[in-house]
Amino acid sequence: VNEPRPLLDDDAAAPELRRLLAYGTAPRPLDARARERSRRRLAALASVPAAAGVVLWVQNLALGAALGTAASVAVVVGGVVFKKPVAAPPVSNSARPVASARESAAPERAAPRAEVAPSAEVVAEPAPRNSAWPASRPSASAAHEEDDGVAREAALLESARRALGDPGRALSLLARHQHEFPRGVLATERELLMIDALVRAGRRSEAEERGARFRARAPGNFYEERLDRLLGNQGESK
Amino acid sequence: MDRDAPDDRLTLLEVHDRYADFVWRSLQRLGVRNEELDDALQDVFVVVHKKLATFRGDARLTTWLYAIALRVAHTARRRARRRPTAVESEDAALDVVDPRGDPEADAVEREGRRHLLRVLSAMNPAKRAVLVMFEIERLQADAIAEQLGIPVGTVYSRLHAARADFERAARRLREREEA
Repeated sequence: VNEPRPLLDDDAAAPELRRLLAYGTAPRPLDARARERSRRRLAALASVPAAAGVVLWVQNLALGAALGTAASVAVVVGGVVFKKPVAAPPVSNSARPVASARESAAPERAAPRAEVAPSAEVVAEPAPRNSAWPASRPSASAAHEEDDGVAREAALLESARRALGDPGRALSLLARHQHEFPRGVLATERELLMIDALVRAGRRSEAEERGARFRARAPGNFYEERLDRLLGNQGESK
Repeated sequence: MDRDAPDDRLTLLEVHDRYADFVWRSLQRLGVRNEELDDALQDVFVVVHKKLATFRGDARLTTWLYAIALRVAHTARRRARRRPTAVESEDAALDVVDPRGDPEADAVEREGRRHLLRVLSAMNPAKRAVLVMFEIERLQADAIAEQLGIPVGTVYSRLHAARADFERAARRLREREEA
């Protein structure tokens, strides 16, 4: 196949298009300050176990939607609890899961954004294993329903996380989550909490079986370190 | 950072260190505006944080990141459309007009860019990105294919469709301005 020539090099191309393209500029590279800012926020995010972080973010979403006016965002980063009052979004699907980590990691941002990004929709969408993103997009109402579902999922998982001191109760809540949201977007978090609760309940072989299945689905990856901690140290969870 | 680590063994921060610039540029190619870029970049890596465990290296990491960037860009564009501020005033491309000491020439340059951005913003983001990479950044088709994780033939067909889109959008804009 012959490589096509850029229109700007093609005298036969429409002059109007060539004129337009001549005004084009290449994307700016990521400068050092923006890179560092992004990395700092991400480091704060990475310091929160994925399960807890996502649950906390989405819980904020549920809380914001429930209160309607304001919610206090709290997130544990490196063992310190940061709290910052933020305006609650007007609708549930405009909540920003990363807001807490971002606020805590980027104090130079004086005020919350007037309109926060609907990232919950992005985070919430389940990705098939080993693929990118589904081709189809939910409609606005479907996205809204999905956000509500995620908020309910998160609230249930947060209850289970808090109940880990009583592993039987935590397992019961997690079983309820599995029943209500068999293909929930927080299924990964549920699985990690389930393993945690099983270890705490002394059901180690079951925990290890689940851990092995979990590892088989995503070997050598991000959650493995947390899984190692869960299965290697009964007392450690968060 | 382990510079030799394969992509499917990277931690979140290593993915960021290796690919943040690629994501940043991709978001611009996909039409994310200047004031949205920081947040859109963050949004991409929030998704990476959530989904990294599901990435096993069957696809190139850039392909996966680009797919996430595409979704994030779509959301950012939709959010920006709801804003009352002028579309063009927020675009990164307008920030890079070098003052040449000739206000008239600068104004012409800005107006030209604004016009181009209006046309590009009417395009499908995936096609827009290929058009920008080929026609403006002047990347070779094989380089585009490698970055996007698609066959070279797909780059050609997407470019063909993008050019048709670009031409249609330019025509529509001209007709609207003439009306």
